[in-house]
Amino acid sequence: MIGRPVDRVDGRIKVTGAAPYAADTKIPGVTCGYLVTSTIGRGRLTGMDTAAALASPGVLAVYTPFNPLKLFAYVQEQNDERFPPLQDTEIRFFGQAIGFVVAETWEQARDAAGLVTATYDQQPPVTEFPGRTLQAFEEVEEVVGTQTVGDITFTASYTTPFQHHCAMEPHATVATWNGDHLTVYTVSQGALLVQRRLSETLGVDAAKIHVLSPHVGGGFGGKWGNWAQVPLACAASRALGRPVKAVLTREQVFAMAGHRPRTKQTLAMTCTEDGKLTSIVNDGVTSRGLGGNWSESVANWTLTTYASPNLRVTKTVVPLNLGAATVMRAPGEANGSFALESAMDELAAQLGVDPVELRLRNYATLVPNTGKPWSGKHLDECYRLGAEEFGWSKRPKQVRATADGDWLVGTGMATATYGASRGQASIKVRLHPDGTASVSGTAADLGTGQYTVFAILAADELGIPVTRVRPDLGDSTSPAAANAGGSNSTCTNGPAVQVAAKAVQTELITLATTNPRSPFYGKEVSYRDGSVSSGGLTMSFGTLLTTCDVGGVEAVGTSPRLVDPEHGFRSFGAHFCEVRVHRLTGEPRVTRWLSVCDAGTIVNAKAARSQIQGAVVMGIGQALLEATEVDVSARFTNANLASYLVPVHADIPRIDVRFLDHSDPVISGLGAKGIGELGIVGVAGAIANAVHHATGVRVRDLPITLDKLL
Amino acid sequence: MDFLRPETLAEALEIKAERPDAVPIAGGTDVMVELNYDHRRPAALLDLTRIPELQQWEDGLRVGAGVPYVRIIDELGAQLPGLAMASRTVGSPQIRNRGTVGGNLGAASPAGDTHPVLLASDAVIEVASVRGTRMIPAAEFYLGVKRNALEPDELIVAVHLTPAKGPQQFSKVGTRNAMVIAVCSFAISLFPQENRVGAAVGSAAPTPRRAPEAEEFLASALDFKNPKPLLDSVKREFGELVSRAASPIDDVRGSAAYRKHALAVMARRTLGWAWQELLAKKNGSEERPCA
Ligand SMILES: Cc1cc2nc3c(=O)[nH]c(=O)nc-3n(C[C@H](O)[C@H](O)[C@H](O)COP(=O)(O)OP(=O)(O)OC[C@H]3O[C@@H](n4cnc5c(N)ncnc54)[C@H](O)[C@@H]3O)c2cc1C
Repeated sequence: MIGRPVDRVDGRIKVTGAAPYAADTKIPGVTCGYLVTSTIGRGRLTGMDTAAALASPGVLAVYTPFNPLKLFAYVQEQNDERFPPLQDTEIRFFGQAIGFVVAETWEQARDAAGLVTATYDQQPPVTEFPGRTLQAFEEVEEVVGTQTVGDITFTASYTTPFQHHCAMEPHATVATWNGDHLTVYTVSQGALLVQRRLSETLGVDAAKIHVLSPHVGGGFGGKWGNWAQVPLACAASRALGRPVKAVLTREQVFAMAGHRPRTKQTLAMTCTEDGKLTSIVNDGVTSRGLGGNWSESVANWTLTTYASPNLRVTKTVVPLNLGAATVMRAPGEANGSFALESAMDELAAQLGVDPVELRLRNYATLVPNTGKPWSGKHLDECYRLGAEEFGWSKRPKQVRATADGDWLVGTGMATATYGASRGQASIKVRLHPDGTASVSGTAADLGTGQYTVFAILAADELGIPVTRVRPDLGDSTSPAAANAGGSNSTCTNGPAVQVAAKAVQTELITLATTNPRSPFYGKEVSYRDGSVSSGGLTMSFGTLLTTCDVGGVEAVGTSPRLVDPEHGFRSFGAHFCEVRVHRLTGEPRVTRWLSVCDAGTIVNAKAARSQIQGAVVMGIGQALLEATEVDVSARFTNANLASYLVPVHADIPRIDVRFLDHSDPVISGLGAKGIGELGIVGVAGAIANAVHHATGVRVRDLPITLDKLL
Repeated sequence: MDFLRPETLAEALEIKAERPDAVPIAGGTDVMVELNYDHRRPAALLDLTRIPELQQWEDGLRVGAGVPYVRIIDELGAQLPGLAMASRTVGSPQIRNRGTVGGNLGAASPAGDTHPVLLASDAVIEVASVRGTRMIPAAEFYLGVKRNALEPDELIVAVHLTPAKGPQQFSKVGTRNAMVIAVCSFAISLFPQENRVGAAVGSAAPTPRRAPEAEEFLASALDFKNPKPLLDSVKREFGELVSRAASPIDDVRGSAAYRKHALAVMARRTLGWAWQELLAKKNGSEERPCA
């Protein structure tokens, strides 16, 4: 069953609208909260006038830093906001929460929020990047070897803009209290992330906080953190004794719910005449939004990609008056690979070597910065299979060599790699008298296919059809499983599902042999394909439970964290693409795509293909379209989906995805590594390289828009 | 906010006379966006979707202001190829189901996709109030950025267009392949019997505008009676004159220089297509080159 294409088990309820998302939660008497946000980028609030809002119809309360809801300081270092909302008067960024209006309806709350006025002691916000900064600091990340000399030298700088996740579902939270128990319906990449944060800031025992996040309409990292609406809805609900629902507007999501930071990488590489790298230095600069703490280690991808005896990467952080920068699909790798994969292409051209050949000459058979062996690596096979299937050998060596009418045609390729690891996870499997099995863990499905992974692995282990397994995700009362982040869900949760599905068979056998009503009482039995057998008698677990009049048997299985200091773990892949650029207008279009991936065991071929395709689409956006602009007041000016361009169907060609069939037995018995982020790594580089091949123009500043191609 | 729902045009005009501050709403694809962003909070909305007169088109052609893009594409594609081409590039299927030419004219955005076509094909806008009806040529309709020739008590009733007398083309450059505001756009209409050409640019000046010098140049340079393959020099000069008719600005979608350059390209390209169609017709072939 593992590895075959399986339809999503949650597909039907999603396309029919039956899947409950956080904002769909209907609780009688629910009130609506609307955030008031700052209209300056830096300074101090000196006063707020809430009288008109309070007098507005339906308004129940207006909370501000001058009339706050008590929230305790955030303790755990996270990649969301540094400070809980409304607890101080400092303005760190434009669009920061400075008020929370609660009213009977959303329209009343929004209307009243528009009546709140604020006065500020204003300072000029800092938005220049890299530029003059508040407090830039350099952290030397890692140095291997000491020499930086070779025969041939290549140096160039690459820059990437601010970007936003743009998940379809905006951030929503509905909170309700029953005595001192809190129930929260919210968007999240992990129910436990919410529970922990709320326990800290509300000062409530985590055991009394029930978080439900069964379906999430896309996250991409933007729903890992808990943004202002989460604690405010919960605290306001406690203060008012009424359920409170708060949904960020799209503009608020842009301003306060995280973004991919701006980066600059300066790469200096040396190599021998035959193209063997002797040193790579990558000086990375990343912005940090003063709303948060997080920044990208943008240059670090350079440490693990190509063999080189000398490696040095640095990280300089530039704090800006913006909301928190946060993780966004392949944080570090998506931007990091754009620079290194472009540079490898430029170096190949300088040497007159084919780009695939240059990568093979610098193939890292050991982890470049640690010298450890890989748990498994078949990247060379990705290059070779990809090149063959794509027809790479027919590629003209010269740039600007192919035209089709007014379109200049070029091809490019790039490497993809993304780190893998296995954390600890616990999963519960329960067998029911109706013949079904449920599988539960706090894991999240953001549209990734995690529900179906649970169903497939449990069905496989139990020997029953996928349709008889019911996965339950996103509930904080379930056993603690992996959050959806770092491409970690399947490699961590998958083995735990297998352990739990085995353990429950032992429980079933115990019931069969010890329950006096069981026909197997006192006998030797075995379990196979959903049934218990002994001698000539076979009985399905549903019938057995019914016969014994038992409501179910269950077991929690735990798969421990993998501690393996001996190996390096990564997923690998290679992208090949064709790009057409209009000779006269400069419009760039991606017209052909092939990705070959080596990511260990693939559990569901269908959902896995769609994960890679989705990541390539997002990478095409990163390469050609997406950039959030900041004006002098530190406001994101194109904070909506009309002005912030993500790809539309007409921008996307057929995307061919192949998976190599190599399980990774070192990471787990299941052998699965991550695929959620792998697919976007290298995409922008491959496109930049194809654009160069088509036109002869090298663009080192994303996105590659038409005006840069004339 | 009052929501006013007249059932007839007469009733709508009376309301508009009494309440000139009432904002008409047809498909709502511009109005609702503005309300959503709180760019405007009108005291009243005047819903035009129940008025039968606005939802119809009659031979001639008189196209009701409330006919949505999807119907222009499906029902008028043969008679108004240029307008149908522009309509196909508007938004997404959802937007084309709701959005109307009347709304495009009401919004009068310099980037509205139908404007260059209306200008290039000599459209006349029929507007009405309780005071009577006015017929405004498209070239006199656009007054400034998002400003048109309507008086506060007037409504747009219909657009008058003659069925195409010759090839028409529309072209638009966007930063992605669909769902995008034009960086710049261009429309051309050939009137072979009259030895005349209409040409207009969009998203390249404070208002959509015609390119009269380019039109006059083509009228003199082309032989409509005995069409011969186009000379490159004619295409180039035409592109140059179209580009000169524009006075674009730099903005996030594109630079002024890019717009000028792209307009010349689109002008040459669409002229090539249109002329090819004319040649094919003369040679007895009905085949039309696809855009
Ligand atoms: C997602 C999206 C994509 C879009 N893409 C495009 C695009 O690609 N190209 C493009 O050109 N536009 C686009 N638009 C804008 C919009 O769809 C068009 O301008 C459309 O033609 C508006 O028509 P409507 O009927 O929806 O107008 P409405 O929103 O109802 O009205 C628009 C304006 O016209 C006025 N008005 C409407 N009818 C009349 C009337 N009969 N008399 C007087 N005033 C009137 C209204 O008061 C308002 O000021 C897009 C909009 C959205 C939301």
